[in-house]
Amino acid sequence: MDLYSLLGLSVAGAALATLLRQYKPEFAMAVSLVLGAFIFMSVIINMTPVFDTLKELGERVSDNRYVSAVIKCLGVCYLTSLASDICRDTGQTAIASKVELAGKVSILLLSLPLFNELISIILDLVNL
Amino acid sequence: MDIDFIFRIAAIGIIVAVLNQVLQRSGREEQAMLTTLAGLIVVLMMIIYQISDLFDTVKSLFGLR
Repeated sequence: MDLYSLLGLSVAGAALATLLRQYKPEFAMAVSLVLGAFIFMSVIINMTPVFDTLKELGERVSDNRYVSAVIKCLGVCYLTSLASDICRDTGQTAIASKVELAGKVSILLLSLPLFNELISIILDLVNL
Repeated sequence: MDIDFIFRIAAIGIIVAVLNQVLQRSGREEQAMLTTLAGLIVVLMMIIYQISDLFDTVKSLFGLR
């Protein structure tokens, strides 16, 4: 799916969603959810070369833990933003903020080992 | 995940809206509400499978668990 067809599809989906919002808001939410998921899926599939190059760079610099942690945090960010935008789109701002809170906490948990590594590296430098 | 899935959901929404109006005009509010509920359930069942394979793709690509 190249960019231009995605753009046209999103505008058509937005028009469908506004049409449905007047009569049946729940179907408007369904259309926007599926359209968001579809575009997100096609973008993600096009991103695989980016991940491969990132992994190669990670192996060249040091072991692969840091790059994979960064990629995991990226995945968590994408999913939580998808879910919170859908909730905010239907007017549930409270649920949207809770989903974002959950995403932040999970990213923090993912990056805890990196903090330890960082602190230990700094301490080694300071003790020189 | 193909494009006409989105338009299928929009079509179901429009059909349910029209059915709802017809049923309400003819005095059957309960059936109107039930058809809306049925349409919603059908659409949600269709969506669940698409969302689940989206999450599987993301998990496999980003190496999340």
